[in-house]
Amino acid sequence: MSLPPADLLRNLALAQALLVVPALGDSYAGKSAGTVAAILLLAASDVVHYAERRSGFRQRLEDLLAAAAPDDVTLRLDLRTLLDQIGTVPLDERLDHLMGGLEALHAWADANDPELARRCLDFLVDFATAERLDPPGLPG
Amino acid sequence: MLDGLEGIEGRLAALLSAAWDEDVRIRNLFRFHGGAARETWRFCAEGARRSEWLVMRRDPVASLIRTSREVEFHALARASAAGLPVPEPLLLDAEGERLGTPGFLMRLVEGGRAASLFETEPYGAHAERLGHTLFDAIGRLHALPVSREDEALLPVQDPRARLEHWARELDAHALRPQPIARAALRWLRAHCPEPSGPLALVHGDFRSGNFLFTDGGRLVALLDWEMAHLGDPMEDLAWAADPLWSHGERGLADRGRVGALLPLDAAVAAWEEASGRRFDRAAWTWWRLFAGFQGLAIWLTSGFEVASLRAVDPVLAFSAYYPYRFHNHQLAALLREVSA
Repeated sequence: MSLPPADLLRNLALAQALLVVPALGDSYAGKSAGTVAAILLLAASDVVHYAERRSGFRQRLEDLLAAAAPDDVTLRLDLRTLLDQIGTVPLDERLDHLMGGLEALHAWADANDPELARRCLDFLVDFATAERLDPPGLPG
Repeated sequence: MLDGLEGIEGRLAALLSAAWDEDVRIRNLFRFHGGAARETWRFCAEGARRSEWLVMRRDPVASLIRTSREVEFHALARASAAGLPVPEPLLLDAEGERLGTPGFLMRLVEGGRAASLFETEPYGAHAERLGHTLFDAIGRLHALPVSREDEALLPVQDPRARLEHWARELDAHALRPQPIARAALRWLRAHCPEPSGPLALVHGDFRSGNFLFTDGGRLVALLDWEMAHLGDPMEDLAWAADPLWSHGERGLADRGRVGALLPLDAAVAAWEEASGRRFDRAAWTWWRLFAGFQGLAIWLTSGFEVASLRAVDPVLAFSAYYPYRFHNHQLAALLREVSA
């Protein structure tokens, strides 16, 4: 039976925390092993919803960019091109691809369109809130 | 590639033999975690006439942030001379001719430990007393008159220059779009305050986790002076009060204890008394946002080093993960607060 990635990462974290860290003690290697355990625990929680969460935000961002009609010809064209290219961008890079458009749109909106700026910021707040990680803790 | 244990022992023995004018032997060389940005080693140096436990800090191949050992050495020397609790700096090798890379030696501080990021209530019943001692110490640092040597050796950065320093780091190290950092930078540029007072010696990384304390609540040493500069002391207060360093206590609404030590008003009162300066309440929101932006710039630099395979320290990978997302969230929330 293959382990789901989250279980795999959690078990590796446990092995680091319970076997490697105590053996290495207060050394640089020991501290590093502790940090690796923390990263693995964070990733174990993160990986469960990562793809689904990012896919949802990618769709929402695509909608936001498609609906925006900035009063700037160059920016409008850039956004159109960006959206047209999305199918050619590797799956795991699509959100970043669109974030580039959001960066430009938000900068324009901050200076020219408060309502659009609010929508951009709403998206960013929701995205960053969903991305925030809980402090790692070993299972009791 | 830096040298191995024997190479480091040889370098240290040669350096100290010349400095002490006798044959010096190095024993118990041991690397420990003295911050992600530098290699930190402790060892015992033994000559016929003296024997001392020392610490070497030197540049690694890659690091979290690019800083100068000369700056760190000078800031430590200033703080040490002023009677602040810091490791005493002893020998500087600014060019790395003796230590392999730029670095310096300092006396080992005995005892004490640093709080870790995810520790809850690290200071226990001694939190309030330790907090007063800590903010008194940073106030005394900020009260030091700026000397000509400070001006010659330390970066001089008022709020706007400090902001542009981190903006350059963002430009240089953002491998992907950073719409939150960019939005924060726009706001910070548009609302940059005047300096809160004359330039002061600013620690630059003053926070929980960067000082040693005993279980009895005694402040042993202020550490990690590599981001020291001449600037606005409000920066040290805002970084210390940032929720990332609050051990889970301090929320985005600016409530909760600073560094799990004491409430902001009490920290400010201790600092004002020791520094003789006034807290700039009107600019506090700007400084809170600045702290988050500075954090993001540091974590992005860290991620850049990891992604470009220039770094192997797991702390750099961790920094690009948990603290990065923490500050991204914090900045987005603060931007909404200021735009409401």
